Amino acid sequence: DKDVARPTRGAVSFANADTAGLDEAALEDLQLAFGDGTDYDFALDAEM
Amino acid sequence: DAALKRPSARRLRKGDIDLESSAEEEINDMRGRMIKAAEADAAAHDAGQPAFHKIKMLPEVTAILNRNTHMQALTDPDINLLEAVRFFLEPLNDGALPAYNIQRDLFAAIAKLPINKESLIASGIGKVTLFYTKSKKVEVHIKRQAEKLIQEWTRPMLQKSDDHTK
Repeated sequence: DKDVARPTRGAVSFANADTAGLDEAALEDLQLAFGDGTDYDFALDAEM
Repeated sequence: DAALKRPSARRLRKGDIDLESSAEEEINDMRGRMIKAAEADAAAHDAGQPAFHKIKMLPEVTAILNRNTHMQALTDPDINLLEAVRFFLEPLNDGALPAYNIQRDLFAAIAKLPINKESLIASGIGKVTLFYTKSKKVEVHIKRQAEKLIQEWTRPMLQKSDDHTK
C-alpha cells in the first residue's frame, strides 16, 4: 500500500493542461499551488 | 511626517523578515487590514447583517495592487499580500461570493502582477482562482479571466523537466 496515499497523477485538471510526463516534484508543486480541486467543494455543493 | 522620515533602525518584524522599506510596511499594513475586513464581513454575513468592510476597502486595495512600483513586494511570498486578496475572493461558509466589483477589480489587478510558483503556494490564490473556473454562480467573463489566469500561472510549471530540447 506504499503508493496509496500519493496524489492521483494527472487527475486534477488545470484548465485542461497536459500534466502527463511531469515529474513528481512538478506535480507536487501544481498541487501545492492549485490544491487538489476540492478546496472549495463546500461552496460548489451549496450551489446545488 | 514621521512615516516619511523613518529611521532605518526602526524595523518591523514579521517572522524572520525585516520589513525595512516603507513600501513593504505599507503593503504589510494593508494585508493586516484586509484580513480584518474579510473576517468582519464573514462574521456579519453569518449574523445576517450587511457586510461592507471589504467593498469599502476595495478602492484602496486596487490602488495598491495597480501600482507600477514595488510589484515584487506585492507578490512577495513572505509579505503575502496575495493571501489577503484570496480572503477577499473566497466564498463564505454558505457559498456566497463576494460582491461583483470585488471579483472584477481584484482579478483585473492580479492579472498584471508577476505571480510565480512561490507566490501561488504561499497565498493559495491559485486555489480560489481554480474555484472561480468551476462555480456556476460566477459571471462568464470573470470565469474566463480566472481560466486565463490559471493557464498563465500553470504554463511555466508545466515545462517538462526532460523536454527542454524540443
